[in-house]
Amino acid sequence: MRREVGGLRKGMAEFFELPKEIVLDLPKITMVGDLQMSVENHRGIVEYSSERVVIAVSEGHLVLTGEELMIGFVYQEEITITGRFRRVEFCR
Amino acid sequence: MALYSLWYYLTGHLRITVQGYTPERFLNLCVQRGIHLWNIVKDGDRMQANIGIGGFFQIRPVARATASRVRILERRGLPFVLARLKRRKGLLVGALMCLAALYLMTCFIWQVEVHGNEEVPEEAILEAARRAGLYPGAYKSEVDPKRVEEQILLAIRRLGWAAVEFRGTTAVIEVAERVLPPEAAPDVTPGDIVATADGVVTRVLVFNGRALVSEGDTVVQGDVLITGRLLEGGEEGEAGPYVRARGIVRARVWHRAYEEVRVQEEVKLRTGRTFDRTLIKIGDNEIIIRGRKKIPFKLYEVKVERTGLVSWRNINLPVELIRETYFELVEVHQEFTVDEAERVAVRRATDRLLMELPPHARVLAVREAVVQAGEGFVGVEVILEAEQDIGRFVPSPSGQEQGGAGRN
Repeated sequence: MRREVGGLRKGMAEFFELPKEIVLDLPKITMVGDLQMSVENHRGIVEYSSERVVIAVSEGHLVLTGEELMIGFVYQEEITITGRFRRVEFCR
Repeated sequence: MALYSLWYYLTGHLRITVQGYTPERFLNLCVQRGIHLWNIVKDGDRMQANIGIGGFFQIRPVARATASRVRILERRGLPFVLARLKRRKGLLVGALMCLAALYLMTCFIWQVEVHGNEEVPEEAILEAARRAGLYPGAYKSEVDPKRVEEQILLAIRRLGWAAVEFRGTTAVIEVAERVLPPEAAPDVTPGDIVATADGVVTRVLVFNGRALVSEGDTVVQGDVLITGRLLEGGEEGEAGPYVRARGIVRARVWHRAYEEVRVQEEVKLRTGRTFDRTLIKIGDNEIIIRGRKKIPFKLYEVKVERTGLVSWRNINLPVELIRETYFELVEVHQEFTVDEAERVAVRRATDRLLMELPPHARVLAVREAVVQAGEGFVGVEVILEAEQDIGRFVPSPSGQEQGGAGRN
């Protein structure tokens, strides 16, 4: 059911060339190499340590592992993390 | 980012450490309440973050809700610096005094520079400026540049222009020297005025010295007309005043010229036909760019016009534009009667004499005489009588040392 709706919405987004992160309520993730990542449209921080940051997004969690992780900014809409990343994972 | 840093520096911010079991919740709550946190670092079970001053006052409920302890590590930014200054008044006073001292010091002139002088010594200009109130240590607002300029110009006559300008604590005096006309010291080299030609004196005008001739006297080239020795009889070694003789002596002078003309003469005349040729000369090679190589005249005269390329600095390119104009000539056999030949000879001789006359000469009479008339030629002598200036200054050979004494 959820899949179907997603499919319809996705189709509409593609048809009308609308930004998917808004229509589908998905996080928009921008990365600068393995040094900086900013996540727009996040749902808050689930876990934070200098090796592992878990950020809640619309359909689960975004898990970022690395070293010396630092939260540069936290806003309602955007979060910026810097450090040396090793892995980025999506967990549903 | 730099703008953010500046903003947070001006408004002030804190470095805090948060100790609690759920730092994530602490962060999320802060975000929800619009408390801005940045540069968040996890340090074991503690978390460090930057927070604005405004945010810090709203953090208490968040800390209580998450059972976290918040401590201030550092205070940063302008408000804290100012607060510290408020407590340490001496520092503020010192800074103000330093500023005041700096300002006070810029009110004085520390240095006076002179530019543009070449022959006038710098010390003289500085001294003149000092008299007008401009010297190292003078109070700037008491120095009137206009007045100093005037005073300098008045004090040193060699200067034609002066400008006083302040560049910070340095006063710059810009001057320009007057180019003085060469000292109009009269030439006092002693000497005489001597005749340059034979003649009969018509006028004597003495400005300086003593006339030895008078109107009507006959003089020979080399005769002394006006002497610089003022005392009579002082010619031989006697120490009379010896000055530079000045004056005008005019005399009637006779000039002679002899001219011969052949009755039959070959004369070359232009026919009026011309031929142009343009060449470019590069080094020693000539290239004809207009006209033929062969000149179509048997007998000709050529006029050459050379145009070099624009010379730049001292480099002259060895390239020339040459414009040649050839005039065709014909040889004409001319035959004069004896009368004609005589006339031609007289004209030529007279022309030559007139060319040789000095300026301001006045021709009084011209006489001509046929002195020779042989086979096919006529020889004519022309005598031209003119009134002219015959005086010429000759410095006395022994007058050098006396001349030195006469200078003033």
